[in-house]
Amino acid sequence: MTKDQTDGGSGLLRVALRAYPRAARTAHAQELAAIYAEATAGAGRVATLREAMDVAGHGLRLRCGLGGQGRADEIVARAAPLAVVLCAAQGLAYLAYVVVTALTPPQLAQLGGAYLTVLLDASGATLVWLAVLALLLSGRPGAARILGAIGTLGQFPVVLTALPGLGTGRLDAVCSALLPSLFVSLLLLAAPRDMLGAASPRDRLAVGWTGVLALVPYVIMLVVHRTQVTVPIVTLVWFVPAVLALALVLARRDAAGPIALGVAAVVGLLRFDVPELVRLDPAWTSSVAVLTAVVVVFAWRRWIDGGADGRTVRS
Amino acid sequence: MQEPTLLLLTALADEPRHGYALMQEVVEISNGRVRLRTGTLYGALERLQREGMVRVEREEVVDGRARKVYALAEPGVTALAEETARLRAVATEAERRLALRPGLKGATA
Repeated sequence: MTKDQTDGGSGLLRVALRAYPRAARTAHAQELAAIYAEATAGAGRVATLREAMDVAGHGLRLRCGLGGQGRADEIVARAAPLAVVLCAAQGLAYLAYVVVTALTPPQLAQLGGAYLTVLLDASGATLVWLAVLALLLSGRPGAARILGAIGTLGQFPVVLTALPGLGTGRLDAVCSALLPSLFVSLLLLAAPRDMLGAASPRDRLAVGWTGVLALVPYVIMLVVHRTQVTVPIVTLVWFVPAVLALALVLARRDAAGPIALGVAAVVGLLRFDVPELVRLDPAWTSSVAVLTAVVVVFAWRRWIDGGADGRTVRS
Repeated sequence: MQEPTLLLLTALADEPRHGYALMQEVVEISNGRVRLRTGTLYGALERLQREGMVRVEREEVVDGRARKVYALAEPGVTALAEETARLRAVATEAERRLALRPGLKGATA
């Protein structure tokens, strides 16, 4: 390794260590630097950069309150595959709808170029999330995280290009196409790499049932054709697990599985509930948004401190 | 137990090791398939310490840098032994069933 590379490596480490909260940096910087120095000795620029990014990722997780005394790490790691399967299954159901539409040419002809762009984006995103799910189930969490992040970044220019031509469909396009992908990508990045995946039969079963749950709203919409009935039901399907998870966190109940499912259900909330919320009276929308933010922040703080009451944490 | 956790506990099973030595051991045990990077390794070690499976054996200074040497604690030994027994039972059963297939007789001996 040349002197330039050594200097570059330690410079990258200094930047990466800034991601840590001050107390954690003071406590762990020396040892992290020791491991990093040995791990990057003789390594190329790309390998050194990846090592520094991994250090920064650990620091950011600590800064967000993950990796502390509570079970936040475990819950995020268990929620991520469930959120991926929700995203993939909802995408598949949507594509099935598109295929049905394509079989009726008059309806397809009415779609403008912008809507076709959004459909193309949905197809691509679904393929990406199916691939991410396969990578997670086959024990390749690192590749799954990278693919999820790249796929989501790739969606932004496509949807932004289509937005001007969507008219009143802008809100639905953003909520259906971008927000769920963005949330799942962040969840994948937040989960510790060594805990990510669905290793146990119990985890795989949870993934399977979550996939089935993802289809519930579409089955309801298929069977019941009255929007005044389907809209409340479809919004409640995702609202219930998310609220239940919040209640469990606030009550400090040791229920990582249901809480993880509630976190994953945010994918459905973003896709189905947020558009309905935004369509409400602005005062209502603001009130609900502020109330939700306050409750989530309060629950988050309790979640982070979850281990302070002496509960054991299982792997 | 996720594979990286199993590999880390296995790497500590015979003797205490410092962070970088653990990284190398994990690569070797997994035949290069799993590579834990600095932040991931450090996060995993912190978690295993909180769970009581791993403890800090001692701290030493090498080339002016302080580093910790980690060892398997008793709960870690128990967890590793249980996971090993579970994997062995599955492997034994898989071998037994494969041996019943006519075309594979002797292949798993």
